[in-house]
Amino acid sequence: MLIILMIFLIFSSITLLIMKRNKETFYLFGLCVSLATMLTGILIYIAKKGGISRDLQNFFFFTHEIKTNIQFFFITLDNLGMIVAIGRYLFPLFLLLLAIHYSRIKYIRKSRFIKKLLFIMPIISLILYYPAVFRFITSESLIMQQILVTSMMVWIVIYIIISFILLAIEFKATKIKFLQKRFISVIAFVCSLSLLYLLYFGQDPAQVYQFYYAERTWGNGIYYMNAVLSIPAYITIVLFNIVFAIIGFTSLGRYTFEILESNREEITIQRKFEAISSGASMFVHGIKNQLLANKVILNRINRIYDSESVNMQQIKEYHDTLSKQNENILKRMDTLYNSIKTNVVRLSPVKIKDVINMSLDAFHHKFPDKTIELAIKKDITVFADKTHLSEAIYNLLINAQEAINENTLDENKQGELKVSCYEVSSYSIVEVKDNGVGISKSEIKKIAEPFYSNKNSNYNWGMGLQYVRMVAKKHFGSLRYESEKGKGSTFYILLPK
Amino acid sequence: MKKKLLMLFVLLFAAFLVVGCSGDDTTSSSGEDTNTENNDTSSDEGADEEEQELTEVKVGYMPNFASVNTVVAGMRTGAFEEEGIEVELVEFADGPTIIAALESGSIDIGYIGPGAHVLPIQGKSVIFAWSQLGNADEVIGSKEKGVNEIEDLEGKTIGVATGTSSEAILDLTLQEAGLTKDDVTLMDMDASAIVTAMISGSVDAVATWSPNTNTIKQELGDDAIMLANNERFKDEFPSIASWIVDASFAEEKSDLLERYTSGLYKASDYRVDNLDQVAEWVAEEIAVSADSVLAQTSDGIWLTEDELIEMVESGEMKALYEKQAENFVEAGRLTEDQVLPVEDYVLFDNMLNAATE
Repeated sequence: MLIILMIFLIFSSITLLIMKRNKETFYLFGLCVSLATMLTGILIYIAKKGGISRDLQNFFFFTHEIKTNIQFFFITLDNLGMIVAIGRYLFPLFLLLLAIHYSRIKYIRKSRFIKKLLFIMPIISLILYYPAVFRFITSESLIMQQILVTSMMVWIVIYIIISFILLAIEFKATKIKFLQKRFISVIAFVCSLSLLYLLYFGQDPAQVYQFYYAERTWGNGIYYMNAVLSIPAYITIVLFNIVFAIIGFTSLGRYTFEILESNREEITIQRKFEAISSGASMFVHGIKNQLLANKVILNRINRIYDSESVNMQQIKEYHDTLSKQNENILKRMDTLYNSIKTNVVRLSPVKIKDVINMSLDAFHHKFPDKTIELAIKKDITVFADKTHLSEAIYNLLINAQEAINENTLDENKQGELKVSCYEVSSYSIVEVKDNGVGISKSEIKKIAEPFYSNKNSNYNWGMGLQYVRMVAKKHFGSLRYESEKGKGSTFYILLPK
Repeated sequence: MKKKLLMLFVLLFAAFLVVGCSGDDTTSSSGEDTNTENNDTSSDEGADEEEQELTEVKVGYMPNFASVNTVVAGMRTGAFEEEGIEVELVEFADGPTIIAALESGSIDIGYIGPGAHVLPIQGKSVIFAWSQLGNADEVIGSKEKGVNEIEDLEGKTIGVATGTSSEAILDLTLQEAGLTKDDVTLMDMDASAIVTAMISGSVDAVATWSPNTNTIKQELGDDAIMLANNERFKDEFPSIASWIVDASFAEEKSDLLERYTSGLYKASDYRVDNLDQVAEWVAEEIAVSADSVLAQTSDGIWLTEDELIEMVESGEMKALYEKQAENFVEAGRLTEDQVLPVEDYVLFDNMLNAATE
């Protein structure tokens, strides 16, 4: 069974690496391969040395024939020991690199120095455990051998502990549900791999090629061959590894697929056309609604003219409203026309604070008496198209306010609308949160579809979220949302750092 | 929801581990209990009680006739059962691994060939019974690679399993040819890899034991040449194989050890008279062809209980063990300081006590 697990791990990690060539998958690939290397070495060793029960033998190798074939596999003990050593010393390295990759502690994540430092111990260990070197160093001194064995153990344990601390910190700090889900699946997978590693890391690989030397530390005896756990426990571990590997790989794979999809779309004309048309449609709908509102005012003015006494003050009021609306339409038309005309988003470094301020200005124009809580911890700079992004945020704000209005119509409920901006792992995130009506589960999948709307007002464009999604994708990011009927919604625009 | 599910998985997982581990503990501790109970019973009232619970003994062996024939004979003829012992066989590739397994407690009793005796001589485990004087080890050369006699080994690559009889016979052969290990290139590998290495032509010669020697000769045909075997050195290097236990086991469970030895004696007598039958049983037990096991029946000198006791009482056995230790010193495998007096690591008393009165 172990053999199947290893083949599965290697195959899946290679597939993932081909699909998505980034650091995260590379580290996971390294983790899987180093574990598989160590276990392969140990399995060959076990097949050759025996000392395990028939049941355990069947668990490891399936049949006696497979075991015999492996047993007669031609390899020197030096090479076999080196294989185990390579796996043993690379696994903690990849584990820590992965944990650092996920970490939000900027100093650790960004520091190239730390990453380089991490390589020192594994490299030194691999040099020292090269059989000829190991024998040269330890042949005269048992104390030297003890020191070597113990110090290897110490650095491995330190690496693993730090990795798990970093992963735990990251897990605790991740508040966003969809990121949490993804992180859980990856962390569970990494934990199950580590568990398998921890079963065998306690034995020093020099045992393989130094076994017959009487001076060798005999402390752990035939450790590799000892059934550390009962067979049901072994089977459970392997099954969990497979389950978590599937969950982990699927989660990473699905995410990768999304990115792949959107990247592919980015370069197709069709995609560009869709972007323009959806932006334009949304705009047309918006303008149409405003013109309809103007039409109502014009009707009212007509009614005043038709009445016996002309109320000039009333006409003035309507006139003012009309010209204000007109200005508004022109202003928005100018900005959007300019951006649509360019056909593409223009990404440049912008301060997210400025982008949000633009959205807020537009929002307050529409809802002058509403307040928005702002939580921008620091001034984050992103690569973005200021106009499109602010328009997208503005859309989310309007949606949120309307949802709040709907929810606070009957009761004396206090509306809460909050905009936050922060960084999480490799993303800068703009979060818009409201305590409005929320969206039911059946609706939530449809809301980003073009022309879908659950609202019934003059402001109902049905294109808002579709546009926001498009903008986010154009920024190589994505739009995510969580919602609960009656409690409110949270929308996230994820922008890559 | 997914988070909860995952948490559930993790909890289940942890539960399984706990159950798994504790399951293991229970087995081993109940095993020990059985031992103690049995010891008590036998010391108080003797072992004739009906429905006596059998004490399980894990025996480490190597998959060859010489190693396993007495145990299998004892198991099949009921000799061990009569002594209140149930044998569970655990297969190992070589003697040093069996000694390590004894030290770690994963087996109770083990068999070692001549080469691994360097360890008991230094106090790592004790010998409680004689197995046989063997003739299973050989140095085989490949004619194709220019090895026709022992002198041709100079400068050649030789596959060897360090620490085992393989190394012992190679040492003797090199000495005879006036060579040292520095004159050849040694490739340290396990007993099975030696076979593959020789057949695939990766080495020029190998030192190994039966049945690997038979397999190599069969596969290589005329190309293989037997350069030396135990027979050639029988006067200066007795190739003794023995039964061993960890020193603590011998101290704490002397009664059990005596009973096991008695079982071995009975099995030895049966074996001497029914060699072919035992060979068939061995073939079944270690899952190899009967022919290959039958070919190994001349790998040793098989003695009866009486002959063994005679050897102990006459001091011949002690002399052979002393000679063996000397050989290791001469071959440079051990220094004089490392060698313990034979009485310290060979339990002659046990051998005598276990004899049928």
